[in-house]
Amino acid sequence: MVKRRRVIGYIAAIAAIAGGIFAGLIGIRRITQPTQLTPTPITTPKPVETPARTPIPGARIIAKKIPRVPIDPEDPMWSYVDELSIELGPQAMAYPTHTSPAMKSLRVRAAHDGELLGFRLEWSNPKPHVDVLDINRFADQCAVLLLPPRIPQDLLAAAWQMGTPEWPATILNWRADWQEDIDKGFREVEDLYPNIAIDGYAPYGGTATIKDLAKPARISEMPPEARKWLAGLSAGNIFSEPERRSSVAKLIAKGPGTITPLKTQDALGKGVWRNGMWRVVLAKRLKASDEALGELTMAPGALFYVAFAVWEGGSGERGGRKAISDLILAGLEA
Amino acid sequence: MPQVYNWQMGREMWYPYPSARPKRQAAGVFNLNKCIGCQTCTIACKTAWTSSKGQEYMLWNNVETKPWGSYPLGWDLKILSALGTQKWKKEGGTWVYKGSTIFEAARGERGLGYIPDPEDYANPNIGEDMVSIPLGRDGDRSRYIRGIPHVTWFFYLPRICNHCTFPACLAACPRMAIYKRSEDGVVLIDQLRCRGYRECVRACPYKKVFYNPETRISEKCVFCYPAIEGGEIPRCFRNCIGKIRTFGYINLPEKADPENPIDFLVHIKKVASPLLPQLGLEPNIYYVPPVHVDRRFIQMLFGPMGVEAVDNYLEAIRKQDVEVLGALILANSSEKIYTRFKVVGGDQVVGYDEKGHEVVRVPLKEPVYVRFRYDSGRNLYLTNTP
Repeated sequence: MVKRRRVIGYIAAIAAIAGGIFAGLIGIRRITQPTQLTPTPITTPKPVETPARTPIPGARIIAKKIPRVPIDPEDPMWSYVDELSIELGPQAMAYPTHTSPAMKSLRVRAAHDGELLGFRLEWSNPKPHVDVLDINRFADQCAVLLLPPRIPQDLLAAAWQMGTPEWPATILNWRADWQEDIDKGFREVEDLYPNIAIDGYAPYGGTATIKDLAKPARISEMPPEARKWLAGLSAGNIFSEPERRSSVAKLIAKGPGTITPLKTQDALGKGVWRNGMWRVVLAKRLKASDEALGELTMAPGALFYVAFAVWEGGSGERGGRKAISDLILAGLEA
Repeated sequence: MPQVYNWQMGREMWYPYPSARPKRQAAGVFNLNKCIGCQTCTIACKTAWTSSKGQEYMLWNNVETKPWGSYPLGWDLKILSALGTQKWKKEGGTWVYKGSTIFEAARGERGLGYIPDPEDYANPNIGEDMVSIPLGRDGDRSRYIRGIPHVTWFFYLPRICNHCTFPACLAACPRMAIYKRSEDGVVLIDQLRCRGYRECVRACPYKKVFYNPETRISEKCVFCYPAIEGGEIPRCFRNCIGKIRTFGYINLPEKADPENPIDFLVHIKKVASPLLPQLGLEPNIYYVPPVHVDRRFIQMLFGPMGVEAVDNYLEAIRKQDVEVLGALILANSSEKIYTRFKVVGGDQVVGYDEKGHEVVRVPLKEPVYVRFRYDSGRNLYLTNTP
């Protein structure tokens, strides 16, 4: 008993000394730091701190049952859904690894309406990067990775790494450049370089003359036969598609480097950047439209695994160079 | 970790994938002594492949004036200075590279690299025709041409994708969207699988992968594979008016075929060497280095084999080696691919296709006609019009 008291005494003494040093350091910092003339106002809304009521044991994220999943991230309906702060770490498993990602945390809300499952992701990003219109420009992104709950425990770590051939991961990927395409029309070189001039492009067919070709035509204005000169578009690459319908792509992955767009691109979503904050909704149907290709089907009351990723385009983050969360067990409210 | 053998460096090196050489490797020999920097190759490529929107800045084929020109800006100096000291040592008649390749020097990456700035592409013909050092003041004749190598020099360096045996772009793509065709070794980007990460743009030390901001994915030289499949040489070869470019297929040095023009020039006569072999990619465009240039510069760009290639080439010219001259004279004299060549009758060189059919026949020396100043038959004087 005496011994324990002594130990407690020591701990208390060390704590007191450490506290004193800490206070002293703060004092020195206060003195040495220049006074801030204009304190930066923090407009970040306070996260809802009510702990999630867990009807499903073990689940850390509960997709709340609500009448309608709002696609607008600023819809007030989202304020009725509990928010969870999630830590993000480096992607250090697969090439190319990224040891110091720009984003450290993320706030997540999840909800479903029996038909759609939606996630609202929120992270602070002082300067948005919304285009990929030049060689050194990368866009902000976020993604939600979904896995079935019945994965054997020993395969979980592998499946977290973008799924496995047996346990493919369904991924929803929102991109700021796609959002910009939807909000303002497909972004092209003249949007970054308004004064671009050109002598002439490839024979675009029809009756176009060199004079007509002297100013760049938007892809949407090009005659259909001219589109074949855009190799990515001809190949059917979703990145090159000028008629974008959603800012969220629905992908399937069977391991690192394997993500492939699913046949039915029916994922919904929207991202809004305001006051240094990205708020993004990513939503998919509970009933998979591409189940044969491995898309995850979910049901109210059931569990699933989820992981998140955030890319800061300004830091050159893309592909595997990203910030990722742990694999989290989640459930849908019945 | 996979070790692959790179014959250009005379040693094994680290590469992320095991060695998988194609059934045959498409290659080219460019004779830099004949390049006049006319950019016809550049335009041939531009009109064939990169005249669409988003490709405005792209030159899959470019010709830069060395030493001052580069496209994109400083591509060679940036990677060479990042790589550090590059030492070669001759061991048993073979040059062995003792420094690091870009794969070996990469820390935490698959290759040493960087993404160029947009401005780096803005002046594709910077330094055109600029000499290495300015000529001296009036009366200072020390810098004028007095034998070989010249004191003051420049030369043109035409560059396309090297369709490397160990491509850095392929190594860097995390999606395996870049592949090397097993039938001819042409390196291509799958336009459906590419997601525009630009890891390939970052990794290619020759900076011959380009990002297309309109399709938002990357593109590169395709070695005119539809032409090759049809038995024709690529467009930049076909349109070369200086006839500096030989297209063909290269074998490994131990399997060199003396009738194969590429093997003959590269392996047997050793008059051509690859561009920056020390980077470790085993590039497949070979250059007959310019004879008049400072040998230190040749060593930097083409390795010590490049310096030897200059001597071998000068020796072949001095001796009037008809086979070397024949192989070089035949260069892109036909739009058809010839895989074998032969000097016949001592004064003609013939190219044959794979079936042994004659494709092209060129005289080793153009016939010369001497015309006298006074034409007595017509009773008139012939004058040269300047």
